[in-house]
Amino acid sequence: MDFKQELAKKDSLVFILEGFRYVSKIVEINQEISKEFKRICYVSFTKPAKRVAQELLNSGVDISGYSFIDCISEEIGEDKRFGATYLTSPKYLEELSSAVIGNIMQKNSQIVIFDSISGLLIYNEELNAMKFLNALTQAIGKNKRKMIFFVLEEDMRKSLLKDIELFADKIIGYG
Amino acid sequence: MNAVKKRVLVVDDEEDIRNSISYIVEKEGYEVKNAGSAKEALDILKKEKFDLVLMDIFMPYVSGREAVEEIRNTEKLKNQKVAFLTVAQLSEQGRKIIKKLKPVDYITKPIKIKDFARRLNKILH
Repeated sequence: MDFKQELAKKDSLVFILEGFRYVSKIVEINQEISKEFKRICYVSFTKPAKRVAQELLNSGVDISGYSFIDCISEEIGEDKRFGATYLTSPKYLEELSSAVIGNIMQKNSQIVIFDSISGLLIYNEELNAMKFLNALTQAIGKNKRKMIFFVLEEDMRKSLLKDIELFADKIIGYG
Repeated sequence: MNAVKKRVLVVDDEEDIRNSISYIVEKEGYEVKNAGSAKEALDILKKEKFDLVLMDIFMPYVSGREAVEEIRNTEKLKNQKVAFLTVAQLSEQGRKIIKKLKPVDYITKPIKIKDFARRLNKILH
């Protein structure tokens, strides 16, 4: 499936990914996004930004237009000298919301990638996460920016997460 | 002789919101019952009749959407009038999904009291 066509028509896409192909699929999607957009905001919930950037670089993704919001390094005591925006923890949703909106306003990012909703659910109640995502989707949409969410296939079976299809523009099963 | 009041079931997991909505509904002259979860609402609906259900969408364990899916799939309840009352802003895809559940209205929170009362009365008269 050519998701670039979908992204041209829609503002928010949710990619459902199988766990065992997760990293390779994320790399594949980023390869396309890095060609389409000049300024990209990448929000990482479970991996330090430095590691995400290294994985993308190793796979040939041009990350020169990327700015990273790292929600996990502080929480797990990782090195924070990579140059990302470091947040206290994925638990603090207001801080996260401010960081994403701040990134859009200051760095003028054209698209925000959330890696991943499954990661967000490790640290937050499902209901709170859904309400947060709904509010953030509205805020980002008002600023005319695009959004991509990744979610593990097994998490989509959770009852509340199914409701993400009510406010996302398109759900894409991506293997 | 007093006319029988129409009955409204207000379903919202947040107590403050539930109470505020119930207050307005009562003030408009209707009898109100509250449910703090979709599951509680489904249990109540199996025993009692209501002229309208005001249903939140984002609720723990069973979402409002799932509850209405069950209502539509239950022979005894399938014609129940339901209006969604929620903070959720729907995408185009979301609007199509909700439309299939045949709600009589979709009201977004925060509500405007006069507008809410007008819509409520329109549904119930």
